[in-house]
Amino acid sequence: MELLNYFIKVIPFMLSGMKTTLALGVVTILFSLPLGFLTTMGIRSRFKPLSWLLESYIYVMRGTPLMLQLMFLYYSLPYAPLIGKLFTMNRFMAASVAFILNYAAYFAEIFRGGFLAVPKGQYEACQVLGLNRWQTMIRVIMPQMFRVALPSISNETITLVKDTALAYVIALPEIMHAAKAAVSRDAVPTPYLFAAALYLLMTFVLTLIFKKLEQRYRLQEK
Amino acid sequence: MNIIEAKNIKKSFGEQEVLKDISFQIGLGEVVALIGSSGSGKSTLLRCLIDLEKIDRGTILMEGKPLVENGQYSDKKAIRELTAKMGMVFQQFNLFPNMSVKENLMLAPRLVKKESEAVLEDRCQRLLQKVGLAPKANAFPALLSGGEQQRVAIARALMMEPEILLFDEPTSSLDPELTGEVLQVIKQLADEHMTMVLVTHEMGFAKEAAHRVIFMDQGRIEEEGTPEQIFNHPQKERTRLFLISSYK
Ligand SMILES: Nc1ncnc2c1ncn2[C@@H]1O[C@H](COP(=O)(O)OP(=O)(O)OP(=O)(O)O)[C@@H](O)[C@H]1O
Ligand SMILES: [Mg+2]
Repeated sequence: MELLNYFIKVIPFMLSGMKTTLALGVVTILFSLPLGFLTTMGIRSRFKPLSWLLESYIYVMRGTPLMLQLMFLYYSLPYAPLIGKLFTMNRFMAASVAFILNYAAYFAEIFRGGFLAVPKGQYEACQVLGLNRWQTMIRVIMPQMFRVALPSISNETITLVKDTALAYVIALPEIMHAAKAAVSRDAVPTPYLFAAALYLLMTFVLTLIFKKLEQRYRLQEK
Repeated sequence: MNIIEAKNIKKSFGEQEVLKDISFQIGLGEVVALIGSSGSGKSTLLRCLIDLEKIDRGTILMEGKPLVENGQYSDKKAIRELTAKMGMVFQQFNLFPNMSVKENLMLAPRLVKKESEAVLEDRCQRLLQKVGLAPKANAFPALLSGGEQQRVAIARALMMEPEILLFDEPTSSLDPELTGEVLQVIKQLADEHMTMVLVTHEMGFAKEAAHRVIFMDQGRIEEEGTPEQIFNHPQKERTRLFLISSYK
């Protein structure tokens, strides 16, 4: 009973944290998916310098901790000489930029794998049927690439929800931040439990959505 | 009249010369079987005709117009126009797995040809009937047998109304009991005077359906002639050896 009372008391505060978490997650997905796709296309382009540049971008993003990237963007970059002023961002902005850049790199790798899974024969069939590059890409290759990539995209999105907790290090008022604040303020451990429940709720909904998506794509071929 | 004329084609992959000075013609309505041992360059030759591979030297004329002349390729637009008159059927079918049979047939003509939807629908129906797959119009390729998939692939190529069809071992990835249904479709096309070049290991079929047989060996045309000449009276030792080994 006491637990319930406390829950009712603290939940509005926790939910406001969840709003921030959701906003960060949605912004990240909305921008990192297309950016990741463009990155893959850039790497596949015949213009080598672009390809190299993007390869190193992926290398850096995947080779350093997201937590470090967050701290760097929010705490260090504003002190850079000359350009620092341009990169002074509020917490949400900084978190969004870090997450978008980081996740775009991972999505780029996923898309790359998806492209590799489409057999060469598909491109050749398109060519002999007279389709141009654009038509080939949009109508034939991308749907197949996307189907292969979907399970990984789903995985990565669920990871993202949990990763948003990292924004705690720049004091973004997301779920973890709210939980920690409540724990300190009220001197009870239960807010962590509520936080866990909120994360589970979000990942559960996402799992359902992606299951449906994957099913639909599979049904199309049966 | 010749639909295709190839003169002194040369093609290398790196150091390896795969086509060594190849010349031949394909006449209107002719069915030509291209035979030869593995690695002799049959697929490469076929792929060069439809611009899936580039030749290094030589000339390929399509209805008298150059796809490539003395190693110089025509501009993109000209190449596109010329290869649009050709269709190709692959060993691995290469159907689009994310589309139904009907969508496989309709996609390219919808995007490439300027014909009304009704005309295309009509042709689609007719061709599916022709290859015996009208009831499968809405099925997805994964659910079809290999023989059915290959017949869809043939119908898909025919949707573009090519003047010549190239086949690269259309039955080689099929179970033996399924080759018949595909060969029958090809035979029917031959009877309708479709011009065809067919890379095949089916000697019986080549004998029966082809007007002319070209035997390739190590990147060269070793011998060519009527099926009667090649299969019953081969002149070259290599042809004889190949035929003996392929009848085993
Ligand atoms: N893309 C490629 N890159 C490098 N070498 C190639 C390539 N395609 C073919 N070759 C080589 O060229 C030679 C001729 O190959 P090709 O596929 O034309 O032979 P084929 O007569 O069709 O043989 P098969 O009966 O096995 O299909 C082979 O030695 C092959 O290894
Ligand atoms: Mg071959």
